[in-house]
Amino acid sequence: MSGYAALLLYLAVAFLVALGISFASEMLGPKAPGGLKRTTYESGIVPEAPVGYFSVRFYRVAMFFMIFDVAVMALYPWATSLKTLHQAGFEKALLFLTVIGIAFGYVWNKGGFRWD
Amino acid sequence: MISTILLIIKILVLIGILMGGFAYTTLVERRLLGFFQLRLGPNRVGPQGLLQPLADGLKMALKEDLMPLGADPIVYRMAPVFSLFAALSVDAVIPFGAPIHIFGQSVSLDIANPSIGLLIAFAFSSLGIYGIVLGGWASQNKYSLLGGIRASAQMISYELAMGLSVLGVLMMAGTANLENIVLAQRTQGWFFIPQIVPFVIYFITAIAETNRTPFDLPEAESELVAGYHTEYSGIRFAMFFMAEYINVLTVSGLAVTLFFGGWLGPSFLPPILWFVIKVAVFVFAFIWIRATFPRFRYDKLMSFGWKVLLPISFIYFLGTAAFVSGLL
Repeated sequence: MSGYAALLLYLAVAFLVALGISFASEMLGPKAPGGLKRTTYESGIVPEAPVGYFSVRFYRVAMFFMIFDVAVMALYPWATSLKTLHQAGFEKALLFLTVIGIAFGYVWNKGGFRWD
Repeated sequence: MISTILLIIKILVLIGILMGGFAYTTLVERRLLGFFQLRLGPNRVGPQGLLQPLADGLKMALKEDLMPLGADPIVYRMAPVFSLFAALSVDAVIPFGAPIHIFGQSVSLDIANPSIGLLIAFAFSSLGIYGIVLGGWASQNKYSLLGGIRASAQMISYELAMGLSVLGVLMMAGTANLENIVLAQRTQGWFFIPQIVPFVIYFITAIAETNRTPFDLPEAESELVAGYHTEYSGIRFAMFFMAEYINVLTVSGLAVTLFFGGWLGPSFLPPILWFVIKVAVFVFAFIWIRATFPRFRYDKLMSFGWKVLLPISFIYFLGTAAFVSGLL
């Protein structure tokens, strides 16, 4: 079997194993509903307002991650073949890296990485 | 035909080893933490507590399965599955030993050996975030949501530095295939010597990626109850821990493969044993660090990732690139 078919088979088995394990408590455990078992635990206080809002700063981090991680991923094939690209390859990538570096510096300067 | 049978055997053995590895890593961790804190740790179930993981697993499986009233049933049930699936899947591309010969066939000790092995490993390890953030969201508990969101922000922040830190290894080996990276270290020496700074950064980010002390903010008990798994019970609760400990084994295995020569070693021990020994050293380091360091503050953690680790690994990466391309 070729490499990717083997990988796919392994993933399928891993997923089925994980799925199978997850039903163990439902099958084997006791079932005694009632009481306050199904309310959420928020340190003993009765939960009031609905859940679903969180600080916008997390969105910001996610956006920065998207931008810079795509840049890093773009470097992977380049890095793999850098030995055969020699100096010319390094100099061409330097342009790209400078743009990324300026973007990073700009975000830092604007306080994008501050958390207060 | 034989190769398909061998593949199925390999898959089952690998999953068995990972599950067994998880079980006994928890025992080793609890015993070692005991010794670090001048007590004995669990030693009652079986000789030296060797049957403790079995007892724990059975107890978890025999607990009542609870789901909060407002929870999203499908997402709530699938979140631990995703976590464990992502943790298990990374190990498919890690070579555990030199190819061995059975039935006149050469069998490589990994499930798949794609040329983009490292990318695949990172892609699957990132999928683990989904399990955590969806588990936190689906629980409809404010602490769980905060824990899940925090975890995802932390993991994606540290993933950047991790991605940059391994670029140097890629450049020096000239390949992203994990087996060829190991073989490259046979001629060039182990990569942690020229890549010591990226190795340290990789190790720090690996601790953060697996949500272990001192980066265990997502489950900070003192402020978030237990974070994203507050509402989980029984085996689904245990599955998040399976994922965490298998991730510890996986990032250790990747560190060994990338920086410490994988299964290479003097020939008086078989290659697979060298791999296991090296991984065990890393797992011990993880536990040692857990016993030693206090938890980070969240704002410090984020700025450490973005303002310290990321620039350092970027600069070291530039230097390595200049060196490898022959500029220096």
